[in-house]
Amino acid sequence: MSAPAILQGKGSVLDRAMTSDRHEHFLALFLPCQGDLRAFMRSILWDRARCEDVFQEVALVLWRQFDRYDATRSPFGAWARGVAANVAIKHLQRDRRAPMALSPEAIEAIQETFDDLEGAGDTATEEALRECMRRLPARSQALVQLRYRHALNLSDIAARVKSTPDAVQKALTRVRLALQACIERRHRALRGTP
Amino acid sequence: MSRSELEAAALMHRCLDGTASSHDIEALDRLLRTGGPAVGHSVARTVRFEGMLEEAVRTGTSGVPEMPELVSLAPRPWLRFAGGICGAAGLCAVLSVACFWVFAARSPHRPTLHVADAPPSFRAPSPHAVPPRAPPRRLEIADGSVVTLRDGQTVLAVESVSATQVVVGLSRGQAYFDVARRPERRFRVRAGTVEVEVLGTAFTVDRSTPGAVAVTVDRGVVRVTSPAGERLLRAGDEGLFQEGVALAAIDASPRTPRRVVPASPSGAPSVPLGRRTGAPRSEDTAKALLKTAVDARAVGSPAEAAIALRTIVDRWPGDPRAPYAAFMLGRVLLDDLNRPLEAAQTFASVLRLDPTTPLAEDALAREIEAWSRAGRAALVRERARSFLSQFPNGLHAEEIRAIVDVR
Repeated sequence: MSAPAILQGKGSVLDRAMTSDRHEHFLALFLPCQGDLRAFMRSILWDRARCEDVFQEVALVLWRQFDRYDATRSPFGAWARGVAANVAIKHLQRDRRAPMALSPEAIEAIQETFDDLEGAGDTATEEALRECMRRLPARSQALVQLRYRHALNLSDIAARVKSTPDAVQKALTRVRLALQACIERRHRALRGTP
Repeated sequence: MSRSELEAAALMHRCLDGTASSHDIEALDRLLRTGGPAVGHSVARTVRFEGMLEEAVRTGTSGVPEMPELVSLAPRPWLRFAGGICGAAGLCAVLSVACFWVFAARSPHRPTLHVADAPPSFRAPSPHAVPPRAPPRRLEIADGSVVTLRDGQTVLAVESVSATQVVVGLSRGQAYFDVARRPERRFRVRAGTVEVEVLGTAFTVDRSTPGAVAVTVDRGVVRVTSPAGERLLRAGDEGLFQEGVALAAIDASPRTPRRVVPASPSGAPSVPLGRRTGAPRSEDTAKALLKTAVDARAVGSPAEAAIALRTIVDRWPGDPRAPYAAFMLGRVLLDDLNRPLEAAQTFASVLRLDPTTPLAEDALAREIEAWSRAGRAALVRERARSFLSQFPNGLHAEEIRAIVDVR
């Protein structure tokens, strides 16, 4: 016995729900904004591993709810951040191990900022960052590697470099500031401004 | 920058570093609520910068050498001694006879190798990667080449060493080869029926998956010979070879446009797709394969899309993209390739990969549709009942209910 026609062939309800172009369209919108979406979620969830887990969940929720997205009402990135904020807040409420979090008002403020800055990232900055990182002193490069490649926390880094977590944090802050200043200098040089 | 902007940036850094006190968090919260858009911008810039920094370091595109000054691997005395002997004897005539080293899992002489010394291919595993059971181990061959075994499960034997040829056999696991450039001698790695030949390069051979061999090239060019034919892989390429069939070559670079090319000369399906950047990681390759599948489908090559998706599901079932890849594979099999039986099984695998996936309802509905198209009425009924018990108010509940009623 065959199944009812509603389940078969083109034009069936299921087929309409799963049109083959749907996910390609979704990916075309999602892929360019995923970096910003990750950054936005980091600003709420902070911890990299947790953020990555929740990001996967958000990606699937976005895909699942893609039919509800109305391009005439907001850019995809803004809609995605709205969904991501909800998922992240729920995650924080569920996860009792999560540290104290920002208030919904503060999260909303960050969200609005990201909406303003949408698409502000650029290749020149990434290029400048790479160049500036090459110029870091060896010890700073080692700290960067330990923190970002090996994802060690400050205590572990401190143990490795025979220092204290507080000193490591200060050193990392100096590295970040140095990199940001270096990037800014390179941008100014490219623009030809002093 | 104003003082409040600087303060917000510093507080956000503490949050990201995991060192923020409750006082810090309250202060950041207050600044964000009352400081206006400039504070928000400062926080957003901070987080974006952090993300960019992480990405650059993690993908190895930062240009920063791995762990300068902090880690130095001192060669063990016996290796140094062996190297000296070999050098004096003129490229290992001695070794060709005597050095048959089999690195078995429980070697009592496990060298202490720092994780940072592992080659790029072994670093930065995805959060879902299985951690190695033992630290990587390193073997220096007297011609200057260095082999790093991923863990204690890797079994490797140096089969022969001479002035003109080095042959190494990889029976199990994964090894990274940094081969000294010596044009006068051939360096070959045998992994079952797959053979990799190089002149001077660095690459990984992975036999962790039964029946499959993955070759990843970090530097130089290698020629891979398998029963399916011969293939050149360049720096940045990864090739997957089955014992007998070339599966695919993967591009993990997010910036290089993919190209889909015809099947390999042997007739085996093949999707060589360009270059990757940085070290290969499951997340990179899974992401790249997913994009490959989308591209392949877009240009009307569902079979190639299916290969890419199947590779994700089989090789990285723990990757967060695997359930989605399985779902997409089910669609390709059902909608494009008209293989309902396989499609049904694939849709069923979505829930096995992640029982809590948000795709669960869609996957089950599509599974029912696939069983229906395969003419498996009993399975359709069984799965439909299962669907209604799990998703009584689901998006597809009405259609599924109709099936149960009709039957």
